Amino acid sequence: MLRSLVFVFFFSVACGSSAEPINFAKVVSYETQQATITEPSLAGIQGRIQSAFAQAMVSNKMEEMQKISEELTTLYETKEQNLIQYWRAYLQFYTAIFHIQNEDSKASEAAVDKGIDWLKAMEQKNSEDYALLSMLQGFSIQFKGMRAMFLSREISKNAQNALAIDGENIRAHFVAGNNDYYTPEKYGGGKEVEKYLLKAIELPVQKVPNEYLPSWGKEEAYEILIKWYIKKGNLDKAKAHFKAANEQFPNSYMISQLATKLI
Amino acid sequence: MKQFLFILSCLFITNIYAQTRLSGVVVDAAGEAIFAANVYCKNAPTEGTTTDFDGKFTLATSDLQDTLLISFIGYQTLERPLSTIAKKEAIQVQLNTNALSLSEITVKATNPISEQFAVTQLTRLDIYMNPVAQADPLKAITALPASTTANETANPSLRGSAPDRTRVVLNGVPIYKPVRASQLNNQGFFSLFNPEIIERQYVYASNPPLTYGNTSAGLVEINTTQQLEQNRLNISATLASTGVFWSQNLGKDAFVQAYGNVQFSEAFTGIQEAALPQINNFRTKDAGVNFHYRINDKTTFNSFAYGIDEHSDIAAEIFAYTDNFESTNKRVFTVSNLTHLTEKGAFYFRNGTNYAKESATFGNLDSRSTTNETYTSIDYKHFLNDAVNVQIGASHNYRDYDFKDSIPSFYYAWSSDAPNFYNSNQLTQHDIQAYAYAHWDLNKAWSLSSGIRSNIPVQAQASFWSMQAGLRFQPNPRHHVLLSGGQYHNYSTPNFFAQRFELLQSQQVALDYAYQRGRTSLKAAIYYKHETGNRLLSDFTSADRVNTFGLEAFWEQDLQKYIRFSISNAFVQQDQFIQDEAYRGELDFSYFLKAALSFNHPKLFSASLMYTSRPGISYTPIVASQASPLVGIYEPIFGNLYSDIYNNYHRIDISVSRYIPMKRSALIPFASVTNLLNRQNEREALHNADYSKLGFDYYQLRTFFFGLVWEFRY
Repeated sequence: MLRSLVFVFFFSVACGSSAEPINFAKVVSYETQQATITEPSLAGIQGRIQSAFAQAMVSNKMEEMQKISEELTTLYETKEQNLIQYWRAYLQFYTAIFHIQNEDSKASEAAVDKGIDWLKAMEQKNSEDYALLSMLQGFSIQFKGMRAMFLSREISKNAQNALAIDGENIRAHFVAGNNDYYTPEKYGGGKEVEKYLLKAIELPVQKVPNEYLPSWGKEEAYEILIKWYIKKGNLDKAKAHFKAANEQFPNSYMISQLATKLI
Repeated sequence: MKQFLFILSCLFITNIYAQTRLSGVVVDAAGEAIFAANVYCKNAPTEGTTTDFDGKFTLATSDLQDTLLISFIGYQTLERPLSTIAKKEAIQVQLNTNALSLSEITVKATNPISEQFAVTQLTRLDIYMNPVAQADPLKAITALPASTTANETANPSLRGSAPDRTRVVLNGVPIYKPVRASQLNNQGFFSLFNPEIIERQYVYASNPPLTYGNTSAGLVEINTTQQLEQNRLNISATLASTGVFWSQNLGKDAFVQAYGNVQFSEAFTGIQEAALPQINNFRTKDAGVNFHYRINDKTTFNSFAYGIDEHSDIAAEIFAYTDNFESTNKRVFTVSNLTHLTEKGAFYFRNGTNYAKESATFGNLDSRSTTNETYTSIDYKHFLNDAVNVQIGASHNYRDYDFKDSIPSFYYAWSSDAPNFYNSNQLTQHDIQAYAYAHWDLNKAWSLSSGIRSNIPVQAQASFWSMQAGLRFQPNPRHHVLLSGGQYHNYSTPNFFAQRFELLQSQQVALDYAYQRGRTSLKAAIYYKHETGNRLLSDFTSADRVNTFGLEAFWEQDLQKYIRFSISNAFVQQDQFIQDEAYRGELDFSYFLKAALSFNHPKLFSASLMYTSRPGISYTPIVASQASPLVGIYEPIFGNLYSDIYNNYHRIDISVSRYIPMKRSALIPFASVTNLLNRQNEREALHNADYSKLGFDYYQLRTFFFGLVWEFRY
């Protein structure tokens, strides 16, 4: 059950959170889009990863994800730029989700751990790096058994580092709010979910449009915020934010899924 | 009409030709290209471009009055009026990293500059999860392979060194005698610290960072909580204590933690008298308050105050005389810290005070002492850049020990009617020291640290220089290697047997390796140390030199989600020199095995099993005696120094606890059995009056302990 929920959540994130939400009717033409890319590039990388993930989930084959992985590895070997490593780690996140949906938790753990290792080893991490690291660690906690207790503090610390470096980073706010949402209240969670996520939905996904840089976070923030209001029984606020989210992300699977809970 | 079209065409052509193609390269302070930087004009942010992998860009613009903006994550945005650059063919732009934010400075200021050279870091959770810690921060250290504590106390002995060579500091202030009832009877089963107030504990098993002085073996650096997770009230009742712990946020910028405990022995000893033959009675009251206040964004104040009142009465034997050893200890200490952040660094002002009044009676001994200590230091940490941090500081430690004792006139004659004499001895010391310490990240994998510390001699003290260097290699997050070495000094802490401040010295080198991947942790170490200065030994002799060589290995594995197994072993070869003769060291172990198996299921229960094994400690036997005509008491005749060995030590402990959540509260019942197999591990040789019969006193036999904690979160 939990795995199914995780799948639905992340699959819908993948399908809906890119600047260009995926229309399944266009998936067939994905190869055409890919064919236009003649050499390894980071242009539109977030969308490419999310599309490849969606395709993998439909076809149950990771070919496109592996192709992007190889491209990024080649790029990193020649350029050694933090940004390339960021996207490699981001791809590992989706690889981990793919594996867990296929009930291969060992491969899922190995995939997410690899991404965590890369981000941890990165020098001079910026706000985006810390936010992604925190998100990957949040995903990995399900595998950590007894180490989970030790990891939760680190996850929170990395989210706070992301906020400390750039208080206007939407993904830093999303990750902080998301961590707080999933932390049981008896362990101090749930106190700042609303604060972080309200801020996240206010912020632009990018300060300046840049196809190389991450732009995820807003749709996810809406989703968790609406869930939070539903959980707290505040249906008026949940509905208001659902309406706003629906206007901004009309094709979002994960937002639309919440409609049934608001009736 | 034609004229109009002509003018329009001219305007259009002019406009085309007015577009300027601006090209350039964006680099960082080191001259490295910045990829994916945003390059755009202020008035047309959506018509910008980004740099390629080589940092190059080309931007077309027509408004020469506009301003060029270049930005990237983590760098300061650069603004240049186009009018100043448009005519140039290609420009090179350097972006500088963002100035450290206040939060970043706070993080850097909070963590020790030597953090990367700590062998182990323990969080509060680590302490609670540790199967041997019994929720005691210093006992948690005994589970480490580097711990060579062999006497079941919480006083940390690291890598074969005497506990008094390892310093325990709380928020940067040294806490001498960090254990309870640490008097003549060598008790000290628990430390003075409550894990609830601890954020993190750094253990430097060897080569203590020279940001702290007065330590020549290792360092345990305890930092109190910086941020309260939530308000909480705990009430506990156990077989031997009742206690309360309260933590409360006081607005956004302050919090307080307060606790108090009363310990008593009646029930604990009552149900297991045979297992605790030495304990007649103990009664302890203690209380602590930790107050944290963020005065403003840059300045933080923290103050911790602790008081304890201990009474104990235990059966003891010293040189064939058996009596009750009664002791009292009243102690109050405070630790206050003021931290102030600057643009690129932090100032630390630290102050500690300690007052203790102790007494002990046994036979013809009546020992009374008072201790007054103050410690003041000021330190400054400066972040030169992302790679280099330096720290300097100076400290003054005033120590006053006043001993007023009635002491046996003959070392072997302790009976109440044996002769004794009165001794009054007041010792004072002003210990002034200064240091400099630097940490440099050479590149992605290599880090270097170095420190130097000296005293400013007063009161005819000898001058000394301590110095150290360390190299850290971390090729990836899974592996790291530490190589460190140096020369260190500390003053001994005066006690009844050694009423003096003695300067102790050590030279040591250590190589530590750690591996962590997934569910596996591995650690290994090799070290050598040469210690000089008198080391008081358990049989009232003292060694003036000790050489120790050691090897350690540790493996921890999560067997599945809820089960963890760990095993460690240490080889410690120690030689001690008494008047140039070499003897087997007291902490010489061909093996020191520690194994633990833990089960922790949040919805079921937690359980742990811990096994410890080592060879017995060597001691000097009493082989005969002669009647002393002066006092009518037999005088022992010693055999060869350190020629006998106590039996091998084996111990299995088991503990079980369960977390039972309720609405806003929880119940946590727990129970433990110490020395499950009731093994008689020899601690001390006992004799009859004429030393003709030999028996032994044992370490803790099988004892049961249980209790209940009620936790309320709000």
